[in-house]
Amino acid sequence: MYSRSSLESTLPVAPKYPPATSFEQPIVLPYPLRVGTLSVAELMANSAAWEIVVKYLPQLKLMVSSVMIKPHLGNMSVRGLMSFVSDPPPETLKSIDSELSQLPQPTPGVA
Amino acid sequence: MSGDEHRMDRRDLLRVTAGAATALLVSPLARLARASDEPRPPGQSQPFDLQWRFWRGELNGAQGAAFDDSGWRVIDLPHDFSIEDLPPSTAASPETVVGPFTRASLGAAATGFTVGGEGWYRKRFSLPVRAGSRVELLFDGVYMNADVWLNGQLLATHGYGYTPWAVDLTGHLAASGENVLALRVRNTGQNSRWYSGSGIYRHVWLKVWPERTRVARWGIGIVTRQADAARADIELNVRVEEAGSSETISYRVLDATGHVVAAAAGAVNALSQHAMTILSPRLWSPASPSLYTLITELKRGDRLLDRAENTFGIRVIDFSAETGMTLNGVPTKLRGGCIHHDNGILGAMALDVAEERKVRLIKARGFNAVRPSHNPFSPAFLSACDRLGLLVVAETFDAWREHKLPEDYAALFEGAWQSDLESMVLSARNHPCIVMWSIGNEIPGRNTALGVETQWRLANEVHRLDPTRPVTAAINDFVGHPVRATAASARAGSSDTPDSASAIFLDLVGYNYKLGDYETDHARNPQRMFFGTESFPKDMAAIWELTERSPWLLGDFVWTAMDYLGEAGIGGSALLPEKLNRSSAPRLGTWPWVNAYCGDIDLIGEQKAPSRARDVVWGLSPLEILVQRPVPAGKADVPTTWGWHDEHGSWTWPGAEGQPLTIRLYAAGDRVELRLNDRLIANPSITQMGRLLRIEFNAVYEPGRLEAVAFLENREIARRELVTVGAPAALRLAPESPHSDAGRGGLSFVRIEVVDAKGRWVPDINKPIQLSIDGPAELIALGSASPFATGSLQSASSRTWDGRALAALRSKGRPGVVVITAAGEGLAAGTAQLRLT
Repeated sequence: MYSRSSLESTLPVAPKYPPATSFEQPIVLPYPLRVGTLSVAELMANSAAWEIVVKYLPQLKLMVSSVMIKPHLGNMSVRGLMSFVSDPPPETLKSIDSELSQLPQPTPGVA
Repeated sequence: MSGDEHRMDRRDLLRVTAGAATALLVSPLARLARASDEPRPPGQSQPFDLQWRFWRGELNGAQGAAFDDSGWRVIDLPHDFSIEDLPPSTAASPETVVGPFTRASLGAAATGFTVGGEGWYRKRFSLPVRAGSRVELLFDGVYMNADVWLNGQLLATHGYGYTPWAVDLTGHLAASGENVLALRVRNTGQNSRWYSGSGIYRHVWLKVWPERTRVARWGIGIVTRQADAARADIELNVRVEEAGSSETISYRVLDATGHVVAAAAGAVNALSQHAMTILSPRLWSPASPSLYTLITELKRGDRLLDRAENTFGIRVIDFSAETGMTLNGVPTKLRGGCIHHDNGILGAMALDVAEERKVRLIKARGFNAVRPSHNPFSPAFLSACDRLGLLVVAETFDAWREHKLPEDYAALFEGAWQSDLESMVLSARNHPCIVMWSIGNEIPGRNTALGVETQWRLANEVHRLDPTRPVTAAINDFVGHPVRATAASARAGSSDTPDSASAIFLDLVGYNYKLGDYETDHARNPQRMFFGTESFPKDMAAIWELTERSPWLLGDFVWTAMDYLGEAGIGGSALLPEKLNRSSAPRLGTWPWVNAYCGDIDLIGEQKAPSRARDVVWGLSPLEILVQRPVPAGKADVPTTWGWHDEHGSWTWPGAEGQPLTIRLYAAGDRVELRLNDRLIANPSITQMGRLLRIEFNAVYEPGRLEAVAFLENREIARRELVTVGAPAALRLAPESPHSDAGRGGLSFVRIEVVDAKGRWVPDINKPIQLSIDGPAELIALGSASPFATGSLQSASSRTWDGRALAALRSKGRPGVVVITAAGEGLAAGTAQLRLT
């Protein structure tokens, strides 16, 4: 009825997902300061950057004050947050990015 | 070994254990509470659901053994006190309380305007004390913050409302054998973004062992290492507690007919691993959900110390960035739907039949997968997925350390995540339906250093507990900065591969509402394996067009497969001024909305408009006709973000004669024709949505017959019609099954429809109805799919909505015939019979 013999075959084999050895913070790789590469929370923490963003998208000032939205700002991009109202025009995002590129850029390192 | 030999073996077991190894529940109440008083094998779960007493509200001293609970209600589990009627409002405006709903709900739209609070449960039971034995209670789920006292002594607390947990009663039972169990739950504050229910809403089990030695709780892991049609190699990982040197352990695998197909035996270690091979296995898949049972027996000589039965399936699931998911070597897309755990008008009560019905309904609509959001579901639900064949993404948490709501899981996370994760994974790991574990949904703070560390700790703990399944999480919007994991931390084989912070330690990445990023992300991160963990119904055609032509895309889970209580009004549509020109309506979410209304299936199990379109997208139907509810002049029907047009499969719109109506056809062909009373309707507006055609016609409404024909390359592929029905004339009752179990677990659903004189369903009718029941069953729920608070969900008086309602009847514990009658003013009464056996 059953066998322990080691039949030669090409059976589908289940993958394994072994645990890792220990935790070390990942290394953060270089990234530019742009609306698509930082969360809204990070942009807000950079006053010069945030000033540029809300100059083009003033609705964001009100949106980020919502108690419903506040917990999620670290997971939201400008484009994502704005999509609750209407998708921001690509040229607006380009203009913001152009000005952001003039600011000091983020320093990579440990997350 | 034959099936007869197996039955002999069971009798032997009973003989060996009777009187010595197994405790009996002997009190009069306990006899009522058990279907049978026959001795149970050691370690076997005994139902502990019946004859509890319940009090809703805060109390002092109710944990005491001598506390007088004679005034409390007697209830049987599963029980959800949030779905029970609230006391009538004493406020000036009586509409502030409607059945279980109140405008004053702290949870408001999030919990569907229901109320939690504190509740108390007490149960007396008799259990003779046996020296050296072990006694344990197992709760499948209690919402939430539970404290348990036995004979006045606090024995356990458990915070999370969705994980199973146990209480060791050993050493705390009364010498007299008469015991009082008390349990308090506190569903307080703002702790949930959806309807949670309150109380002991899942089963409770009593387990007794003759000695301390046992197979550990959830201590058997069954893994398919490799399998095809000729052979399967199975690995058992077994943990035994307090074993000595004289015990032996044996394993038998039974197929669906009870025949032994593999066996093994050996000495006992605290941790042991065994290999078994099954020839000509029946592989598990959604199309063929074949199951096996592993019977494990732990003995010392002839003395049976523990016996466990574990159901499992033989299947190999693999994932690849190039070829997506394979199931037993066959490429398989996840045709998924997200769901919450409530059972509509039953609230959160996880009765087995209700859990299975939900699975059956979802599967019937073409789904092959669900994402139980955002918490572990009941064992009964997972077992139904095993039996019926529905793949599952099992999810743990909606929050880690940072709150979404002031009293949500983040308040418990630090002290409880590890044990909650462990109980979820170990208790559910043998379900073949589970294809991956999700460690979280849209977790705030996930991109911070602490968030990334937590991602690793959770993912790594899952890998430690179950190294056979991948780990995922549902990521919305911003996915974090590019990072590279060190060799010590990285997932196997990924240390040189950069990824985003939110995804770096995930084997598979879940995307919430990121359809626009799929192709660019795949181009940027070709090694990343991902799928849609949430998506908007309106995107279904585009999603499936992309999914089917992209081997790397694993599939998609729409939000949601079925309507649910809470997140009120995120679906549906709104009538807005035509000139506003919005692409989507704002979220509704205001009283009296209580239902999310974004599902493919409504709250009582009927198919909604998006599901009809999905039928075409998924090939279940080549053509569907839907008609937009008449829209007042100057207004436009605008779906919400998760919504859909207010359209129905109906050509019965009394009062709309002479008004223009919008008719939408969803077709798989390349051309359609539409006729109203045999006249061709011209000038449709055609939208190509992937392979799906959406064709919109405008026609002046007149009663009669609307007929659509779909063609592909000039060949007719489908014909559908809608016919105007007559005035409401009668109520029709249709039990979903003519038979039901006579035990207290027996549950019957009865569909109630308003029909015309010709017996045709009359849509859009909201009428009061009154139900009466004669026989050994009780009404435990009656309601409709209305997204609004319309009244009690447990009274015999209710209303139809869209011409329909649903009743749920629970067996009283004895066989017989049940006659159900529904009456409504101006309607001939409807009757139906159920046979309880």
